[in-house]
Amino acid sequence: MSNRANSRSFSELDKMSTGELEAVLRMDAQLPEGEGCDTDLILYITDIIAKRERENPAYSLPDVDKAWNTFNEKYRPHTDGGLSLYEDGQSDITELSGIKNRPSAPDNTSPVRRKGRGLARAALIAAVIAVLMLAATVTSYALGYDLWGHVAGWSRESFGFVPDGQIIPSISPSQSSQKELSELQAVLDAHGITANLIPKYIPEGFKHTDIYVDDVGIPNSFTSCLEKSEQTIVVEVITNANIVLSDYEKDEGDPEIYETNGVEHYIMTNMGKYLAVWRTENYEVSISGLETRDELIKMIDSIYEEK
Amino acid sequence: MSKNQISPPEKLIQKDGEPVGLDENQDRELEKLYREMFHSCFIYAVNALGDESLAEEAVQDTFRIACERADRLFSSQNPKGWLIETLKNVIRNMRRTRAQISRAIADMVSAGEISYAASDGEDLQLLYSGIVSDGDFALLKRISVDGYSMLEAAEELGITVEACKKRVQRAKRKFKKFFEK
Repeated sequence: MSNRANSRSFSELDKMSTGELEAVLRMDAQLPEGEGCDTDLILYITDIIAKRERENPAYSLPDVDKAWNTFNEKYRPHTDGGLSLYEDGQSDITELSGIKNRPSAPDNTSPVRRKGRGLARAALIAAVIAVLMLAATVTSYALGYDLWGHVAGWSRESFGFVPDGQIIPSISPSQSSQKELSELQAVLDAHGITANLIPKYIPEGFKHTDIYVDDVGIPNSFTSCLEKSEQTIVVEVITNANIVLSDYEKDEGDPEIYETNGVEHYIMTNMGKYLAVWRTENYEVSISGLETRDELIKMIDSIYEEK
Repeated sequence: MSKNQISPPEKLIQKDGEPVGLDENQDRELEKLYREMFHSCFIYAVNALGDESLAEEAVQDTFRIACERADRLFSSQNPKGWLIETLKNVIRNMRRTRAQISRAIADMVSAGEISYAASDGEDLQLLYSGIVSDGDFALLKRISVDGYSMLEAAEELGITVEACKKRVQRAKRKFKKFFEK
């Protein structure tokens, strides 16, 4: 697989506002252990903010001398085997019966949406990627090239096209009308979408089952499902991609970039199944659920065949 | 040795086989690191926690742990990175403990063990049925509901931070025993 890791340095973070940098820190703090940003990156960001604070007439950072004295008087004498003040090494209080008996959250995720959509955590990771100009030294993230000012970014677990320097929440489509899948192109035609977006090849044995259309507001999305036994392939087209913060769950590893017809298609796996995501004109298209890379490539190539 | 690495300790001061503190060189190194890193750590913590007093406590707790884990800090290839990772863990523990206590109080309200009452001109107060002592309950409320740091709560009660921590732990254990009955 090719690696499109960007070689820009941390210095590009200097262009970001303090509010944007603080947003990155807040998001990083929400990530589970082991999934946050590189510590050098964190330090670079905090140093920028500290420098700006010191230049601000309304300087508000605590006095270090006073803090050092407080440390020596109030905190340092307390020893507890290296445990935090908020850590007691005892069994977790979450074993309290009230918490044990709480019902688990209901799973309202439809099979179609579960295969294609990221979780809140992946959205946070994608948002962190969106505002970072990452250097090759960052171990967990990489950046691709710009599309309409968007950047392809991915972490170990998610992939997405995110606005360069901005954070825009993803817009989750709702599902409405249901039609035969074979009418997907007709639906796109009816909405004035004439670009070559839909595969003409479908792996043997798969039948079209459902089609979901969300054409209320912007963006619009059109989702088709093909099924064979217990396997499902999902093809989705999203319009107005330039305002969408997308995220797709993926397995660890860098996506492969497959270029054909002047379009770069990002190919990756999610739970062992192949998926491809790409943007062309102002559309974001994805195909997911393929067993093999070869079948996925055939589907992609067929998009650009003559009708 | 990289330029970021602090000289590893030749030996920690030993007493009865247990390390009891840092020698003068390590103490100087720690203070140097503290002064270099305090604002960076504070900025991260205040954005993570949304409160300056809690943020400062998180930083102080991080350096307190650094004192006790001096061997790991000083032998790290990246001491500043080590401090940031420790700070993140401290913040997670802080959030978790507060959430635990808040959930316990909420569960006790649901179970009828705690109710609210208002006095003339005063804010709503939580009244409880005596699972923990008056002082311990007030302390838990300060930490979880009122957002006090351990230091602030300790100073209000006129006790040390260490004593404050132990009282919080003791009260949590009593809550746990109550629900196990």
